[in-house]
Amino acid sequence: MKVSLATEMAPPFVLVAHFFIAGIVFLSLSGIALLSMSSDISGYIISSSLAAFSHLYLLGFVMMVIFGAMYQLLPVVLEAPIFSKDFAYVQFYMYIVGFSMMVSGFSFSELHLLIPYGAVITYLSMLIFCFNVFITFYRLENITLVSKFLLIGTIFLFISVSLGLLIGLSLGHGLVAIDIDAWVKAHIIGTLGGFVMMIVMGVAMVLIPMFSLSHGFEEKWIKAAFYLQSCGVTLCMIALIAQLPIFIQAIAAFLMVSGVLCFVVQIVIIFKQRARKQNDYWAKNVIFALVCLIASVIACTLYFILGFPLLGMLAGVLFFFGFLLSFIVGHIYKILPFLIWYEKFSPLVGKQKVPLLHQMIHTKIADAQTWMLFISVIALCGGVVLQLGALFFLGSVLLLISLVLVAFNAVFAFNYKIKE
Amino acid sequence: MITENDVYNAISTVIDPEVGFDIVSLGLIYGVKIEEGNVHVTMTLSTKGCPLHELIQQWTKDAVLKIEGVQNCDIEIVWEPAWNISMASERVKKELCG
Repeated sequence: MKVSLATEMAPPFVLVAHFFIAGIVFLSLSGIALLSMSSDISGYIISSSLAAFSHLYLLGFVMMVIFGAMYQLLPVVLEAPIFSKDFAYVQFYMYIVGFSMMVSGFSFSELHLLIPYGAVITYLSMLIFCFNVFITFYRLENITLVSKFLLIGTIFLFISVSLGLLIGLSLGHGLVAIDIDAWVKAHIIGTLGGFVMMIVMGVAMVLIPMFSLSHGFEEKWIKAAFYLQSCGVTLCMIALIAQLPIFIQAIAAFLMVSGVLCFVVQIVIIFKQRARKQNDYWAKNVIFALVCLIASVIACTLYFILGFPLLGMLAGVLFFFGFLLSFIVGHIYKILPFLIWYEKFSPLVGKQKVPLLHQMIHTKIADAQTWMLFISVIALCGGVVLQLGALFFLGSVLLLISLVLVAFNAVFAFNYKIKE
Repeated sequence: MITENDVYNAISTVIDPEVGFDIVSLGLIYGVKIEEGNVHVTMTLSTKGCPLHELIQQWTKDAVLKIEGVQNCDIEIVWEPAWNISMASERVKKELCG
């Protein structure tokens, strides 16, 4: 098959950079928000400070980076351009306005009424994203396993944010009579287990073999993960909203845990067959992320069985910071230099010496940041388990410093100049 | 008279910025055919999801077109046989695998 040299399939790098840069800014802000949370480590799931932080972190950082990664990967994985780049820009700016209103509402009681309006704007911006993705998929002829992860993940996003909107309307105006506790749990399961996990699994199947140069591995574990995770999340959300018997929720939880473990096994297999053996900051972050994911699943399962709130909090800390943050930061070190390199240096290839991607990252700072992140996660977990606010605060400070170092490396990459 | 060696030497100036090796040493070039001034390069990429897919093709084409006497260059990307590390040079294997 001959491939044309047309660039219409190329990912929209400037667009992707918008999401990544905003994600890093909001990550730093969420680190500051975390400092005020040491009094909330008992684990009550619905508190306004926890809601403020979790939305700032999840909507501002995790979702931003995922949206950016989706816009970069969709054209590559689907071998088709995204339906509309203009829609993506509209989504970006609406999203920033909407979620800023939501977080302000959660953070300051006098701005509480902003929550439903922010939720509506955020919801509409996510609808634009879903629409953009769905239309892109609609025009496809063949759907691969990775594409299925991205598609089903986006469907979960659509359902979860719809629940989130109804929760927002109910909290703001009492427009909808719902069981808030059950709906919030369904919203969290759908967003984290459905959207975030499905997208992470799909994206990981592209990025981890690519960065580790791993080939020839079996894919049966990730196929199992796809079905287990999507069925588990669906069943769990239905069980919560329809208030089905607890054993149905237990079956759903079992499916989700099995799905996550299958994903971990798949990544371990990929890692075992990698050609690039060096354990750089990327590899360290991925390995730490997987360890934390397993620990988070164990804590979550124990929380489900024993019902101790601090186990729920521990699972959250391990998932948010141990798994998601390590996984995303590790990949930021790979993706951000590439985006900058593509814009600044790729036109110079063949004309003058251009840098390699790893040269655009300050290695010592990245290594220091990586270890500091690991220590901060351990301190945060210790603070939750031992119920020591001071230890949790120390972990928050270390985490914030590590996030500042991530931001430093982002600036370093942006300012990288070719040495004469 | 253009030789295969000329073409491989020209393509070896194309560096994969992620791994830091040239694409000939990485074993991504599967074959070169030369018919008078027309060069046909059969190559692969280390992964199907490579975001540099199109750029690497373009750089390869540009490098070949710089050879004196080359009038046209076709790049054909193939995925069979799939690339693996055994196709890379000993130097690359040693540096990557340790």
